[in-house]
Amino acid sequence: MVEHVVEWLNAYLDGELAGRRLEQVAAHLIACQECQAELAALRRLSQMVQAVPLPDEFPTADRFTAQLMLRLPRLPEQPVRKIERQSGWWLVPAAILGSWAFIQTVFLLSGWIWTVGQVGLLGEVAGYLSPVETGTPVLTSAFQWLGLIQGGTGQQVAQIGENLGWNILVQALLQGALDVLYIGWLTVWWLRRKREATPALSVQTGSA
Amino acid sequence: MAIPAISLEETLVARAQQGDRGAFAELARLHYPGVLRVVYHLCGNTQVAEDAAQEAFLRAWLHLSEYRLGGLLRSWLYRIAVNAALDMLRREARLAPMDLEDLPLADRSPLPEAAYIEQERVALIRKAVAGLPPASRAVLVLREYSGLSYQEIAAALEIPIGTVMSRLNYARGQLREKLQFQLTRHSELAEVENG
Repeated sequence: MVEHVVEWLNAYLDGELAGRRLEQVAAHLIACQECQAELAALRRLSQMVQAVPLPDEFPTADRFTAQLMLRLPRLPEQPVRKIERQSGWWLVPAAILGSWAFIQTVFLLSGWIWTVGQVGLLGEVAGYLSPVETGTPVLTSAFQWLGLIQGGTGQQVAQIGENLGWNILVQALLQGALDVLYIGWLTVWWLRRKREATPALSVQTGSA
Repeated sequence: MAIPAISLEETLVARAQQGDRGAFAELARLHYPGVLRVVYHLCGNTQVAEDAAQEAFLRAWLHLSEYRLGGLLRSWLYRIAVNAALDMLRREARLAPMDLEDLPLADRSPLPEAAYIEQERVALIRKAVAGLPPASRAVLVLREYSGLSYQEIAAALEIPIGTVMSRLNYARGQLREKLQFQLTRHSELAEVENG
């Protein structure tokens, strides 16, 4: 049975087909007289519709524009609060980026200090600066204490912290939190942009 | 070196967004013929179309801050024009409901026969287009009278390309049914002209 390409003829006529579909329709048209006739009829229809002229009685572009200018209101000024809100809005990602840079710097410096301390270049001062000596027991006991009242979750976190190293775990948690904040801001920004682009302009044409 | 037209347009838009009425007037002058084609073929009535064109440019002025530079101004304007035309038609229909059968065909004033036949043919096509559902009519008008690509139509009407294709197929199918006689005659005339 011959498979006709009638459903693609409009797109073919309008030059909107490409790739394999275009090759398929073009090859079929060479062989199928029925589809050739269908395409010719569509082409005639399109020419006939396009040939309908605009009536002469419309004003010229200059006259129309002059009339339009008389009706044109002053552009509504943006309220100050809105402008302030817009500037504040862009501070959110800036603050997130700033926090991220701060966290990276702190952990990088801590890493360096710890490494230098391990080599013995800091002498006795290393004991005061090392996060291993001061930070770990406090965080471990804090999570162990949480574990007593939260059914084991704190215990598990404490265990992970011990195994992985508290520095890495805290860094990962902070970065994760910043990622969530940034993605959240991005989503809200995208939704706002979409909403602002459509009011009063959305097409209300219903269904075909 | 000639400055590309698109950059001139973008400059005008940027100035108009700052409240420059002269720049907006220039934009209106540039896009008036295109907007007029859209609204007239959607409305099928000169007075309603002129009002719709005015309304479209007024809305464009008021919402110009929402247009993002780098987009396609033509598609954005045509979207507003389509909405303005359909709103105007709805308002007109509420004030004075119009039956498609009452649309005037050719003017009965004395004309040479060929001119009369041509006028009647044009009136029949206008009537057939006006009889399409608004959604399909909007797609057909943007394609046939504004020459927009499917991608541009999809952007202007905020619908998927698949919907553009199906609405266009539907609209052309309906027109073929309604204009069968004129199509046959058009084909015969073409054959005579080609010998």
